[in-house]
Amino acid sequence: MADRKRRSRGKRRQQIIEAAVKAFAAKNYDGASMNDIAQAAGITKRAIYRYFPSKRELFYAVRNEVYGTIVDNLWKELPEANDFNELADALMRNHFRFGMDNPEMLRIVVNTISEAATREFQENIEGLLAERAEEIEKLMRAGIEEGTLDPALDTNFVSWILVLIFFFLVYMLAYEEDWLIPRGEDAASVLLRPFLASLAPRE
Amino acid sequence: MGRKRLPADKRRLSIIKAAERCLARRGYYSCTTSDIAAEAGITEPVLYQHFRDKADLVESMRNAAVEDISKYVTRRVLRKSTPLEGLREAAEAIFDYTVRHRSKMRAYYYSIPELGSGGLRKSPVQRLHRLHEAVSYMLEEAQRQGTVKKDLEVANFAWSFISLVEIIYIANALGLEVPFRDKGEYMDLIERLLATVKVTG
Repeated sequence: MADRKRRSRGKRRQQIIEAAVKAFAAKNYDGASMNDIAQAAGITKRAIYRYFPSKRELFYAVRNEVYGTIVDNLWKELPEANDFNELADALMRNHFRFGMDNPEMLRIVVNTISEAATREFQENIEGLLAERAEEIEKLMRAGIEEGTLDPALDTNFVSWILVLIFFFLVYMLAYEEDWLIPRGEDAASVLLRPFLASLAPRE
Repeated sequence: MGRKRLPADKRRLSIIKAAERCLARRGYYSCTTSDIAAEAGITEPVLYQHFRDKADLVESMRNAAVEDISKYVTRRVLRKSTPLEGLREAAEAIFDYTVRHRSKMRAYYYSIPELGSGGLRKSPVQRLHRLHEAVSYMLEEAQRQGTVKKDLEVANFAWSFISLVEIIYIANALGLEVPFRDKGEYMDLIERLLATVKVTG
């Protein structure tokens, strides 16, 4: 009984967050009211306050949810390849496809970047990205062993640069309608390929 | 003891500087016009004599930052004699400028969030389009001079180059220190990228 209650409480919380993602993405933090969010979630404003003491707290929850989802998604369904270039390409494609399918999430990222002014959020993002950089670094080391990557590369440094390039893509996609970037399925590869090619061993 | 009366342009500039500091420290949403006025040592009504609203102030702040960095980068690029050297120099200049103006560039990126409101969202997009035009132009020029491969898809490669440059601003905004740890390592990546399109032999 208590278990079911907890479960439904978790579900309700998730419902609120989902409604808030849409509202914040459409109207930004200042423009989206708790009324808008309550309406979209199909509950009362008072009910929201039982889960989130303030709009700011709700915003933080939305932000964490979105960053977590994007980062997790990056790693979904990776091919069983050993080739670093192929894997990085697959990562970029994943990221790109997710971005095209979830424009609201990207807008939230762009909307929340200014929160990085706070140390807490800075550490939060750094932690999320550091995990990914570590994964990429592992792939890079394998690539060096296979001879597809230049052994002279600083793998830690380059893996962070790659993570940041993924982050930049979020910006590109969030502004999609105003962009000149190449579109379509292989757009991600088109953008990343020259960079990957530049990491090959020097002749 | 009254406040020192500044000429309008100096006052505007001092408010813009105050906005940069406030945004860099607190983020876009937590920084109100009253915080900015306090930071500038003036009252809010004085702020409103110079700027219509927060959006107007932030837009002016952005334009000032973009103008300043563009001037700096252009000056350095023009000293180089070939387009490829110019591109390398542009990347290094952007890196140097960011290191020297950490909080200004942070404030610039923090103000991008206003995606929803038409006016404010235009200028960052325009900045990137102009950057893309400039990079593409330099690559085409290099193709004409025979130093860059003729079959290079200039528009696409320009975006790849720009992503490697823009991450410097993003890292700065996110407070990630990695790229700033080693400029040599970063410039090596820029050089590697440019080397892939170069005509050799």
